Amino acid sequence: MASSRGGLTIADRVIEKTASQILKGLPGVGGAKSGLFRFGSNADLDSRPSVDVTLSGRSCTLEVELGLAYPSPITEATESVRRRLSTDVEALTGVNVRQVDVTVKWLKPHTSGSGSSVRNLQ
Amino acid sequence: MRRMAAGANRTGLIIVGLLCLIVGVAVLSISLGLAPALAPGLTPDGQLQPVAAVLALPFSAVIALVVAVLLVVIGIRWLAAQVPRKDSAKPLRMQEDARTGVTTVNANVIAAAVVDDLELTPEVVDAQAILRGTARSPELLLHVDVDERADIDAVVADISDRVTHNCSQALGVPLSAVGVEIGIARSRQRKQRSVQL
Repeated sequence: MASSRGGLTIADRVIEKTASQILKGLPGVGGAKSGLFRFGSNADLDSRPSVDVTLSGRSCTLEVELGLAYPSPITEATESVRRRLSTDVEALTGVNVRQVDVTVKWLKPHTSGSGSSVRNLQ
Repeated sequence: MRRMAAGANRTGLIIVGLLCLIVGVAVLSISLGLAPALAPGLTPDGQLQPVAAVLALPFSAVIALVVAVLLVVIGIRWLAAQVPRKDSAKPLRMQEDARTGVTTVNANVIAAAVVDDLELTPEVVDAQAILRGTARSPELLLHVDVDERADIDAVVADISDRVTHNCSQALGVPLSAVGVEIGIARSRQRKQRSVQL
């Protein structure tokens, strides 16, 4: 009966954007502010990290490229990212997150971050 | 900070030395007349016809060419090995359980963060950092250029107390070794025109 009401299709880009937006809300986690034609991009704790998704049935694997505030413990920070993505992405999209591979692209000391980032970290 | 090809140089010198020794002993034995016992007809006043006959063979030029190419390759590899290397650590994999995902950090990323951290010290003019070892046993090498009027003890204390502690905290393990090289920056910094209170 449920199929008679229509189906729901979620594109992989939706999951990527959702995951990226979830990470943007995490304190001490950032991405790269893209420049013109990807030139001049710079690390920014207020930017969204980059997420790439590989779908497999109703499960997915996420590949995340992010930056972290320095000197926060990398292992703890990335475990927190992994937990948050596993729970929130599944809650928002219904897709089970099987694995989250994280690549840390930069580490930025607290003091050189933007004002809002510093407030978040305090 | 950078590693030279000392081991390769020693090995190369040993090989060249042994070859020279063998050639020297051979020439000495010929000149002293000891060679005929091993190779009849090879005397100091003997004709070089047997040697010339070997060199006159049709494939001698090809053999010489192959040997020359081999020597050129060895020479180029030796020259390339003379370029000092940083020998940074391989990308560090830092995860408790790989089944839930893998965390990867390039050693250069941590080194860059350490440099940024070092340059927060007021008297540090320039800094370089290299992270070696593994995720479980990291080693940190630092080169710090300080102002010529800097209190070097204070800079070293800051590195020891704050910079290495921060690096260790980020990595989640104590540093197994830390090397610090201090340089003096001769050029005076631009005169400060204002102060923020």
